[in-house]
Amino acid sequence: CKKSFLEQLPPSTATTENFYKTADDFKNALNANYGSLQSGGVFGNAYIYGDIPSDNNFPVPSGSVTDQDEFDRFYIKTTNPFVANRWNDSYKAISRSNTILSRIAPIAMSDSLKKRFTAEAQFLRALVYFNLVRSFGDVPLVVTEITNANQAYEYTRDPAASVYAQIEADLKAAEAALPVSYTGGDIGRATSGAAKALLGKVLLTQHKYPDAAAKLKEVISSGTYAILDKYADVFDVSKKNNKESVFDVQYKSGGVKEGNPLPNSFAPENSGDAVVKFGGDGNNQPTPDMENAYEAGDTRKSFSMATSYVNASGATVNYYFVKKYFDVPATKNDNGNNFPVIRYADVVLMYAEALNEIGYQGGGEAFTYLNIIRKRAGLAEKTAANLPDQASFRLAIENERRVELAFEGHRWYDLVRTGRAIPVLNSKKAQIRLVADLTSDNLVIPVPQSQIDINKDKIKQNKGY
Amino acid sequence: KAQRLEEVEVTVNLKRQSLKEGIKQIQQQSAFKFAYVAAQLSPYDDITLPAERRSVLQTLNLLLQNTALTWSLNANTIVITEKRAADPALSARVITVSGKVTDEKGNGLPNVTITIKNGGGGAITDVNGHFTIRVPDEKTIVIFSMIGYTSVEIAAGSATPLNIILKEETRSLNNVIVVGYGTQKKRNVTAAIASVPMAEMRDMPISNVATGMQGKIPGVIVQQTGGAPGATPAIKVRGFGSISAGTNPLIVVDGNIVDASVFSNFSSNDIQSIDVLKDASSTAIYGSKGSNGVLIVTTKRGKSGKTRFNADVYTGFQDVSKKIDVLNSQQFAVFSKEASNNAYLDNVPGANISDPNSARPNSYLRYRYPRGDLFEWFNFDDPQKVAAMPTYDYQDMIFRKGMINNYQVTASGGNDNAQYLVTGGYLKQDGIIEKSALDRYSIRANVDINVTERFKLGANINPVYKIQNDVNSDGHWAGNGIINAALSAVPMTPVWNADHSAYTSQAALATPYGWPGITNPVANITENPNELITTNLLTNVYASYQFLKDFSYRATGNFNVGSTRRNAYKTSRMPLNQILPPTQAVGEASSDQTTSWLFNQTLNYTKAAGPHNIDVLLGMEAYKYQYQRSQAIGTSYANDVVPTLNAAGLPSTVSSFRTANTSTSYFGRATYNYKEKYIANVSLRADGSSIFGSKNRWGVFPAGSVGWVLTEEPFMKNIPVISNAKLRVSYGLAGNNQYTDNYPYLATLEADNYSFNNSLVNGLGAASLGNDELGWEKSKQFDAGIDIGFFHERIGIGIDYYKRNTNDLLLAVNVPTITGFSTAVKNIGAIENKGWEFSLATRNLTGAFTWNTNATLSFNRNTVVALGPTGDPIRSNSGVNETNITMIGKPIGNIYGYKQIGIFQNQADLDKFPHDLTSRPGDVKYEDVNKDGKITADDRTIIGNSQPDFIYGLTNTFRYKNFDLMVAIQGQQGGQILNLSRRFFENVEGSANQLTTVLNRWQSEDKPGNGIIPRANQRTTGNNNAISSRWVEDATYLRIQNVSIGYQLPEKILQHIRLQQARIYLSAQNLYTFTDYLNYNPEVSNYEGALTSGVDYGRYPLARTFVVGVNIGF
Repeated sequence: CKKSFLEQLPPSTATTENFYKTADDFKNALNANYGSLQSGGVFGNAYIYGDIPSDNNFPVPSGSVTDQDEFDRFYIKTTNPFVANRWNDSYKAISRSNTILSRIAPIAMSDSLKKRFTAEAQFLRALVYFNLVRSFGDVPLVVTEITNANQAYEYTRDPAASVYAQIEADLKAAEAALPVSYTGGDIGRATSGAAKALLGKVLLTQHKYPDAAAKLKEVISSGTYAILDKYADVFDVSKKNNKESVFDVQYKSGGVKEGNPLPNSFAPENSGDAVVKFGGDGNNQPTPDMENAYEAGDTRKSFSMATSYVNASGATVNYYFVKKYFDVPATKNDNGNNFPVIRYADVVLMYAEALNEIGYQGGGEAFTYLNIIRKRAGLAEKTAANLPDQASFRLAIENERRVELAFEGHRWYDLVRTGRAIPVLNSKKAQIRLVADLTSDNLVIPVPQSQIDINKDKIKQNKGY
Repeated sequence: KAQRLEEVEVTVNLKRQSLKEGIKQIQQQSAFKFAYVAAQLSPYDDITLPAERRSVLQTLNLLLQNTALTWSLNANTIVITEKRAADPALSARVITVSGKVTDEKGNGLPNVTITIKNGGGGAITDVNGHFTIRVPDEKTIVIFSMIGYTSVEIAAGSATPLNIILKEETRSLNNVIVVGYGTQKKRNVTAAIASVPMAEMRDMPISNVATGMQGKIPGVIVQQTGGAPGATPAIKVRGFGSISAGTNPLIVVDGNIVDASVFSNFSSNDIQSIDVLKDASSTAIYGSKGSNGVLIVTTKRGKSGKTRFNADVYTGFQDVSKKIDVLNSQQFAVFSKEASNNAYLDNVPGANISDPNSARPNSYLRYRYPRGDLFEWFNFDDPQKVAAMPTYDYQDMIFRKGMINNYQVTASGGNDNAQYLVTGGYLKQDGIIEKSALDRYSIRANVDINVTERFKLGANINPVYKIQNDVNSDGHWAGNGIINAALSAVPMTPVWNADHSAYTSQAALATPYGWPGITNPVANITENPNELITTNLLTNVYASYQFLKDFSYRATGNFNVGSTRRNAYKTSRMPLNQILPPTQAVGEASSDQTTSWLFNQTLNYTKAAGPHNIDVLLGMEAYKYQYQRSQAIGTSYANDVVPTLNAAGLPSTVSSFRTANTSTSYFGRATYNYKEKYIANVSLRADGSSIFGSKNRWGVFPAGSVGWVLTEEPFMKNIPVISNAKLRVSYGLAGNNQYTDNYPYLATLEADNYSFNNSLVNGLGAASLGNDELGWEKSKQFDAGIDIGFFHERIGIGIDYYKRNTNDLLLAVNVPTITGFSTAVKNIGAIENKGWEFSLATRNLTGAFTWNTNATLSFNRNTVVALGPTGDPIRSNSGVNETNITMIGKPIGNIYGYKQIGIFQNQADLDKFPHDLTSRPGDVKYEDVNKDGKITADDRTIIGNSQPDFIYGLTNTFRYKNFDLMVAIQGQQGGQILNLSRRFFENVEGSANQLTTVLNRWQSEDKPGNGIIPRANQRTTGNNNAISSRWVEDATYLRIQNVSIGYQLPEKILQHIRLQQARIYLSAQNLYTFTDYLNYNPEVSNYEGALTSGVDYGRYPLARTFVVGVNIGF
């Protein structure tokens, strides 16, 4: 009697003791693994890592808090909270994948389901590691569940090449096991197409152009995806998970804490209900340079960004802001937009890029795919006359990606992948207010000070920080 | 030798018994021998003498009064003989004196011993305090004495009737001190236990009794961290005993284990005593819960006698004790313009400060400042317009003079069979921030029933109902924090729009200049009604039975239930961060309930066998705590007419939560003393707690102490100056299971939901690492103390030294986040607290003019001995990231950041010192602590610690005739505060109002300011606003805690108005605080807890209170 009196179990919290036992448990665990994509350091604040450092965006002006300014102007402190978020949130997501992968083997469930769950977890792990390796370079490669914290002190930073190898291995396993598509309440899960597209991107990033082109071509040839007629439809909250969506972070409005905060985050400060209901935080403001990157007549510009708005009293307020994500929520930060991780337009442009890197071919297949995107934007097609060589085609792809995929967290990684980050940003040094010339040290962010402080012997800082 | 007869005390209890029995009882309890002729004593076989501790002299006089016997002392033998034939001359002069003895409140005191100073008779008062005594003449000195009261010597004929008032003696050695599960005479206490001098709190107009304890007990830090009505202060006994498992002492009210907030349910009038158990020997009997000290609160109970009524009423007002100096509109205009221009010059090549706004880039950067472009009057370039700008004093708008009224009526009385006390109180306190208020209704009733002489029953019931209007005083202005908004809003921002139809905020002025939209301090009060209703019921019943002469059994059951209900509504008229009204209304309805029950039974054996006194206690206890909460938040209100959630279109959050913990305990204690000279005390407790893992659920906590009363030794008898001296030493183990979580050993899962194509799916992910070996945090404490009294206790000194080592700290250790977790709960690390405590009580003047002094002084030094698996420091976040660090060899929770060594004056200066990539002249110069030629996060270092060098308190009370005066001061020396609020109002940013300290900012090499405040700049450079020594301030303060003057109405007037007693008084609480601290209150800590102490991020300020009160007995 006494024993049971002292044995209290939490009525409001589930414990692991009776979890990870059934197919349903693993489904829940996998849902939480998807859920971790929404955290700030994974895709929730993708703009901090992919847009702010580039020439596309400025952070919200904040006088005394320089956290975002440090990313924008390259004087990132090792204690910057966004640095810590990137690392910590990513590893939390990875640990969820690892837990599933480490525990699923002996569980009784249908083989096909077990295969799919495994592949989904592998896809998610690869996706997050891809963020990590691009942000930090070498990172500890953790691929099994850590059950005792003491084990964690043994990990050092593994070479980026090993991390890429693991990503490729996970994605190859995933693409083989994942279904081409889902129906009903499963739409939005990782598909084989998503795994292939991501693998294509990973290969492209490593400059493995023929492999990348082959993989991306598989996506294109699958016929699963298409470029929508209207650019606006791609982001229309009522047309989510459309043919152009390869993999999105899913959000849902309706007061269930699954809403997307970006529309409120990006709307101008002090704008009240004038831009989006419940005001804005003014994050991720487009630069004048971004404004100028759009060619005349580009229909995407007015959809993606604005330079002013009319406030409640009818006055025009000059303010650069991103309006790509828009949905009128019933409460603040509860918008319904998905956040696109891989769009078919991205796949198409990556394919064109890979082809051009393999070899320039005037008016060839690469032109076809570039022009698919330009046509939809209401722009004239490019021809071999406009883009007479590999270098000019590269620049065309670079700018097309910049405007097509604007504010989706791609620009900085595109510039790093193509080796253009340093020359492009340094050429606009005054405009974008760099504190000093960019060097190769700036291509990765520092390892969080807290993670070095806690394991000084094993975790070393990146050069230049 | 005759003196010994007065000093040795015995308890003689006769109920129609013989004189011989009385003499036998004296013999048993003392070393005296008796010689008498038995036949002379035998006629006296019907003597009644109520049990009371009296000197042998007094006892003899009482026993022999009305007899034909007298006594004399021969060496150690008391010889009883028949009186010689009465001297006719003497007996002719025998007169009879009668009168009444009362306490200070006018209540008749029964059983007061009255003796004739030179021997020859005595008397005791009856149940109403009346007495009659025969004395030789009017000049005969008679002594009125009673345990716990100061004796009075007076000539028998000084008044007719002879009415005597006995004053309660607070520091008598015979006072009983409450210890765990029992009481001990202070004389026999061998532990470090102190009693709060309740008399010093009687005039304090405080809505939380604990605040009155500040400075009264050595070793106890009471910190008024916030000043909201009824706010509970932070209480710590002997330093930080834990890192993360809670540092609050255990609080026991009449046997109930309760939360410190219970102190807001009492008035000091309700409380008989508060005893603070500090060392292991006293706290170990509470085992698991005792390591942070124990506060035992005993409420007043009825005494037999006729029914007495007391009424206590006070009324007065409160106002804010300090205002903060901020810039006026004219100063702000100059400052803000400079900040904009500096940012412009920094960032735009070829920029000129004469460039109009239209020439300055309009996006992203803050280059623009008001130049009449939005509102004509809002123009920082035009001196006339600047001069004409209004300055709104928001502090005047949010603070008010608040009324405080308190009424309490008590009835008590009873007879030998039952005693009772019933009291009812009402307190109404308006806080110093507009709208904040507390209404408290309380009832307390107790009864003690003597069913038979051996069997007693009792019950105590104490319901309290409180209505509290909360205001959002603390926190960021963006979250509508009132104080930060009042201090940060630029001084020309009107509260209302032009036609007074709606609240405005800084957002209305801010847009074109990229300023933040600081919320409206007044709307933050008025548009956010938030009512918290608390119902609390403390109940307690006991039964005790005495059997086999020396045994007693006691069973106690306690049940507490507390519930709160919060109804809050943020209207659509409220300007929010960046948003002008109409805004989204938000309603909240939440309630919670805390229940706890505690049952214990104890068996007691007490034996006095000659010089040996033994007391043994055995007991068991079971305890269960349960908490549950539900909360609903709704939005989408159509209008502001109905604030409840039925009118909300959308319930955005609905949640409920439950938690519980249990413990079971077995304990025992034995105390022994030899002639009250050598004293020993041992105790042992075994505790099982549901909070710990299956492998370490039980903990065993032994303790022991010894005491030696030096003054009982013959060699000390030759030092008459020393009236009492006792040495005490104790050592023991106590535990701590106050962890923030009731299930820290379990690996838990957290919900992380997701949606697929708009359909919600449930997700569960691991939230923590389990640890089934998690066990007790244990602290070993050594204590050595000495209590000395001089000149018949005119001077009393207590000194204690202690050393407390806490091991197996319950700590959420930072772990590498590659695990998926940032922390894991472990028993790791050790801290040490050691210190000295001094108390001094003197009766400086005892004549017609009396003057008493009580003083305390405490030193505590805290050191972290071991930490974490790697011993790496713990960095902790408070309002912002990493403000504190805890590292081995240093005190816990140091303030952590960069060390400012000046301001860069020019380029040459910049070239000489390592600096941030963005630094310019006028920016802050930080010390390159690790000398690597760069300023990086590794240059952060310890820049302060909140723990004081020492704390002290000093209370002087004076009395002359019917007047009394008390002056209490209290303070702390040393310690630092990180005034993090200066991130808001000293960031030199130019878009929010600032402290006037920024007038000393760097402006140019020729106008370098004070060398501390950097240049004004809308776009901060040089990492100027990093956590640094610039915002670390000295927390030293000295406070005039209370001054009160009282007047006791004279007897004549009282008789005329038929009152037993009446006293009126004036009292000023918190009269003045001497401090250099820039914010409101140097005691503040927003993030109370060992790791993040001493961080001020804006808190409800303390009030200064003035009241007039009256205290009536009838």
